[in-house]
Amino acid sequence: MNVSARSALSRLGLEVGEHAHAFSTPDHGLHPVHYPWDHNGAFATYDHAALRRGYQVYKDVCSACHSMSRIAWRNLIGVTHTEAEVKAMAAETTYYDGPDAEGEMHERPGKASDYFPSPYINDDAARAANAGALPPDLSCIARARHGEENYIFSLLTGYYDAPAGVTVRDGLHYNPYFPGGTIGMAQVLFDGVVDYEDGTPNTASQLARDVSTFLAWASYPEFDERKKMGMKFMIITTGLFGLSVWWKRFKWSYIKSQRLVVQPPTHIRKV
Amino acid sequence: MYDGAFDSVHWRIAVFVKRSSAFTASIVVSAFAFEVAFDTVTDRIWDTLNHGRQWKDLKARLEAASDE
Ligand code: HEC
Repeated sequence: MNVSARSALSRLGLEVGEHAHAFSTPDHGLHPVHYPWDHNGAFATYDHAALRRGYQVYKDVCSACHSMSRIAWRNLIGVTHTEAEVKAMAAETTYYDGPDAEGEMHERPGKASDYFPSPYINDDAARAANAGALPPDLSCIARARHGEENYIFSLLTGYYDAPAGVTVRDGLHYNPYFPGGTIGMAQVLFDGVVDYEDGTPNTASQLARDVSTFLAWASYPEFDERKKMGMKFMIITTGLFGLSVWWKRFKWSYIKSQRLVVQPPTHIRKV
Repeated sequence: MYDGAFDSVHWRIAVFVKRSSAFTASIVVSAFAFEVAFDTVTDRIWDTLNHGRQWKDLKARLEAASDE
């Protein structure tokens, strides 16, 4: 194929000839499997027991490096924890507040309206503590990655020995799901690193599943309500559609029950 | 009021279409009643489909566990 034809096609986004390659190269990261989450499907809410365990995994493991600065304590009320539990959890964190009327800053225990505390004072401190890699804020991470909770689960459980021929720089870790194949975050979830209060087996994959569900909720807090509205919407519009069919037939019944006969006039002079 | 299309007796005798005020009031009241009934039924269907998964179910389990 000549050069101008190829460049014309590539301008349309079509790569041909020696440029063609499968999409899922290591540069783009492996496509995550689509897992059968039990909140999949048009009529399923999140499993709130899983959300509660997922919060615990975030709190015990991920919050050491990752902020979730768009989520406030109060967002957990009526989702994973009771109001009393949330107030107690918030009060365990000390917040730096002020200035007051005298211009003084002071420390105070957290309130339900405070946002989750960040592990680092700013992004540069976070980079410096993580060999130059910034742990991203997890508030909207499911929305921010292709594959959403499937990707997060695959990433957390996707640490392997690097295959022959792949060199991994110091401080990086081989993970085929991460675009580029080497990630700054080490494997953090192992069997038993978090103890669940409800007796759920705390295998690494269970921890990953629960925290992925929790992060999906953080990205889509309206999920349950939206699906319920969706169900109601489908029922109502089905009814309205039925009515509109009936209305159309009602209006047309007059026309449909007529017989129109066109009789060409017989007495017109032929030209 | 044009009701040629509904050329049947029961539409004529229905009180609530005779007077605009009664007509409007009956629409408002029946919309309200319909919504209450519809929400009650669909919420119950929803809770059956998602039995054991929602916050209210988790809360009941937490309370049962803390009572022990
Ligand atoms: C020891 C610190 C540390 C802990 C603990 C940690 N992470 Fe990370 N995480 C990082 C760093 C650093 C990066 C950035 C990696 C990079 O860009 O190479 C990262 C990146 C990520 C990413 C983004 C990957 C992407 O596609 O850009 C996700 C998602 C993530 N972490 C989830 C988690 C979850 C969930 C947990 C808890 C189970 C967790 N992390 C615990 C340090 C950590």
